[in-house]
Amino acid sequence: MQKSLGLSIFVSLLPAIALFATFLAFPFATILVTSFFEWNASGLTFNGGANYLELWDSRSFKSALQNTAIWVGAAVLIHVPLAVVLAMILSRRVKGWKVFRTLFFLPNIVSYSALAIVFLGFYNARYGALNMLLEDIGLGHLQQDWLFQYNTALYALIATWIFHVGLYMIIVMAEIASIPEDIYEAAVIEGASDVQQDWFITLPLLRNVIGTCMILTVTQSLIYFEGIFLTTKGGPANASLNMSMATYRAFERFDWGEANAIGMHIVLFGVIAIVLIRHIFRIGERYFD
Amino acid sequence: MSDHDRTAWGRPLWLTITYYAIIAWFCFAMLFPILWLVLAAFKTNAEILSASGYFPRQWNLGGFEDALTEIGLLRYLANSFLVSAGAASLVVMVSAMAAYPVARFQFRGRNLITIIFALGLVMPFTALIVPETLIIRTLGLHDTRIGLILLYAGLFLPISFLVMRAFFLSLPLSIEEAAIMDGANYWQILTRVVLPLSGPGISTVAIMIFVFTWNEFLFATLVLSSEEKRTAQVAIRFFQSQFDFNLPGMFAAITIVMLVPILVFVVLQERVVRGLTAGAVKG
Amino acid sequence: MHKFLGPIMAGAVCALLATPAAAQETQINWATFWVGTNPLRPWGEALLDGYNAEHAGRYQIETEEIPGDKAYRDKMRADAVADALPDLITGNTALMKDLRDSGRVVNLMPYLEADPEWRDSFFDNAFDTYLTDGGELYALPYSRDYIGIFYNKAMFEQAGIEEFPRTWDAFFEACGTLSAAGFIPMATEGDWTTRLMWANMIGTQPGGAEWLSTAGGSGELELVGNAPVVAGTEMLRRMHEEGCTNEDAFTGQYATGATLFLQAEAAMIANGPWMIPNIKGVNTETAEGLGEDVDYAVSPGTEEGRGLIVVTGEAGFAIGAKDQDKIDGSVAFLKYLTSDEQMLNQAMMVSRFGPTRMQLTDEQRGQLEPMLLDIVAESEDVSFVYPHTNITMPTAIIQEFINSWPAYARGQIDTETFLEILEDAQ
Repeated sequence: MQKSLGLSIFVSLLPAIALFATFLAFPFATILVTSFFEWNASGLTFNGGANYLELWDSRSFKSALQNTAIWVGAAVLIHVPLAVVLAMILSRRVKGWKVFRTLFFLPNIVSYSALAIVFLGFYNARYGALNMLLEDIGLGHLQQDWLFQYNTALYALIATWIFHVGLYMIIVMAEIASIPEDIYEAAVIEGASDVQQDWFITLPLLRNVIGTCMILTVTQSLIYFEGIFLTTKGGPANASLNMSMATYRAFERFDWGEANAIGMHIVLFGVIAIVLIRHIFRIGERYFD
Repeated sequence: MSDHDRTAWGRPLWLTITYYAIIAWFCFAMLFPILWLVLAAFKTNAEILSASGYFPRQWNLGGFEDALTEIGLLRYLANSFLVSAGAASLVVMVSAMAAYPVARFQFRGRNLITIIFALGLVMPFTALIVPETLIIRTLGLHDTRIGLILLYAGLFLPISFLVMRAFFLSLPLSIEEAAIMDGANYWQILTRVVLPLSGPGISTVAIMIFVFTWNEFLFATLVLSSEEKRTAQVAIRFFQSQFDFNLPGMFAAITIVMLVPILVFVVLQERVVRGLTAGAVKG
Repeated sequence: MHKFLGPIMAGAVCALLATPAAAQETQINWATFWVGTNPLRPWGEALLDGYNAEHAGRYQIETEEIPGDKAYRDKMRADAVADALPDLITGNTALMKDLRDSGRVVNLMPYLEADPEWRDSFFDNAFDTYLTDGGELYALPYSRDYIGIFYNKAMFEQAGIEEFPRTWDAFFEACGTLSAAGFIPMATEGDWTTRLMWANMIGTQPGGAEWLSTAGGSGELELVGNAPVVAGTEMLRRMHEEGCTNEDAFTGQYATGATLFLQAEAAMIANGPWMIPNIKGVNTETAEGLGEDVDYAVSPGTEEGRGLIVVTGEAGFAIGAKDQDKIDGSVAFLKYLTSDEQMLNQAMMVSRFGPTRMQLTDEQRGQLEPMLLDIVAESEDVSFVYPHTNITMPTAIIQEFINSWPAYARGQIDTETFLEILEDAQ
């Protein structure tokens, strides 16, 4: 039995390992190795750690690190908690919850090439809805070129995405759906309120899934690219540059070794974050022997 | 005890109001851009790029006409569906098979696998352009749908592995233990006990992967080259070029293209609802 | 029955053998982004039909349509690394140079030398952009762009300005007048059209045209302390400071500036003649009567004279084919592309001239856009001719310009810092 179980597990893992080895392991090796090369149109030349040294010395990379950190912070402290709150409320089956669940998932369904144009319009300095609204409510002095002003660009971009919590919301909702009813029995009998049940019973049970959402949001933030590329391109003066956008810039100017050196930083930070989150949320501490 | 007891009724008024206030804010934040882009499909280029108000001056159907005739959008929807449905099913299957043992059994390399798969979550897409092109070409999969499906399956495997694993982790152990007592083997437990219990998780992962691949443009361009295999997202880009653009056409196309994942979402989420109401499986 | 079987089978065998001989048509694959709303699309379709008809039975070109020049470039670069380029590739200078460096495309010089008549049909400097130090040519130019400034005569008249400014002083004065009349003087977006004005402002400084024309060869560009660059850059900032441009001048989206001009909200925009069809209302809605109101002018300059951006071969074709037959077929395509007939087609259909010494008859001139002919005629009358920054500067500097220009234009960094940042980017 033990032996055949081991074999079964191996066979069960095999397709995933094969897919990973084909489509991710080789690219990862490429990124890792070529990050130590100068790689331009003419080909590859080994240059030791020059790409890394250049990065650590560059001002734009520092901005990218800082902005990425802010972005990740917003994802962890705002994005996921919002998703959890919303999932709990909708799981309470407030009237119309099914409709809301679909509506809230809509922004995840639309591709960013569309949303980018919408937000460029929303924030536009000449005709944007936001500036008009400020004018109407007597806050005209706050009008800005939101996406293209140094102090506001990053936060304007974060705001375009921070409320789009639909994906994490449905992940958490699916988890809540699988919590057996009888767990609540005692609490209901003792007269615990909705909020008390959610806080003391549901939330602790969501530990795994919240941790998972944290991993997802941190890693997605690290590689978040399209929404920046299609609007500010990381500007002005790197105010909204994140690491992924920096990778693209290096890629665009055919400085592929450097692009991959930035890529390696993303991978490294990602792995550190994942290990930390797994530890903090104690994901997966429950299994058969 | 039916789950109605802990849901809708007998909630204090202030709580109901709080709930709806939060929902209302999200409705605004999330629906504003969607409504805006749907309305834009009825406007003109100039209206979209100026302060013309929220509603079109004239409800203009030209954008939809362009979407259907000029880029022949409908033909490509089928291609997109084929690829996305293929990739989503493949990913669900493969990641469920991989995530279950990792979630449940102690074996050597278990943590290593999780960490290694996690690498796939943080690879910037731009850095993948060249390596994936090389792989697809080497395997002779260029310009094949199966190539794109496999590539998507590879790219989105880590994310669905992670989510799937989280769902498996929170399934109650007792049912599986009972099955083991009854002498069921690994595959019987997986297919007859675990997967049927994981409806919400599986449909959530399926939706997620379907939507990701549905909106994917870069690799669809890199892998596919013939016109008859073109995906809808690639077709939509025909409305925008460096020095010219047809925004109403683009927004109309986006509006049409959006309908498919909405439909998939509604259908698959029904499973989650059933999971919710059934409560059938007692731990 | 059996008697018949023999001849029938023989016939069948003959037919089978004959079929491949008859179908000796070589397929050539052209990856193109001249699709969808790309202004070059009509000409691309004409080229394809014409070539396939002319070489029917011998060569057949099939297109692979890739929407968007960025996606196209990404794919071509990846294909170059994978050594799997399509037979025919088209693109702008940056991509063509990348392909040249990759060593995966065909040296066209031997084919040009084998056909002196074809070679001599080009302007003298036509090949400069793509020539290597060793005299090899890895891309064939097909364009010669005269890039001026479109302006709305009606708005100028309403503001009481009689002629398009000939000097920068007059230009800034006109900006003030137009603003006062309630118009946006100049439409820009912080990328392409802004950089065209940048080139105009550098190119009309003493020594500026020369610098723009020659600096782009190789080696690092010097910007800090470079007199024409400093003066031109500060003038560009002045354009912004004095409110000559739209409030949303930093979006980096071509649509921002173009729409303002097409809707007759802005009085000027710098852009190439390929915008003419749009101005005439082709494929787009424009303000009423815009087609008649707009004229095309060369850049203001100094007392010494005005300036104009002229670029030969900003865009080119390269051959990625390996098989000699396909190479020959692709070369035949390039010859067809640069034939007088097709160069005229390009001028008629997409308002763009080619790099060849095409002689136009009066009848042919009559078929072309007057604005296009005017700008060519005026090119004889300018004192400074120079390319735009896409030719002079590497992608890295252009990227950094787009990134840092808003901060500079708003006075958040000074000229020296700005130029230093650009210089360091390369």
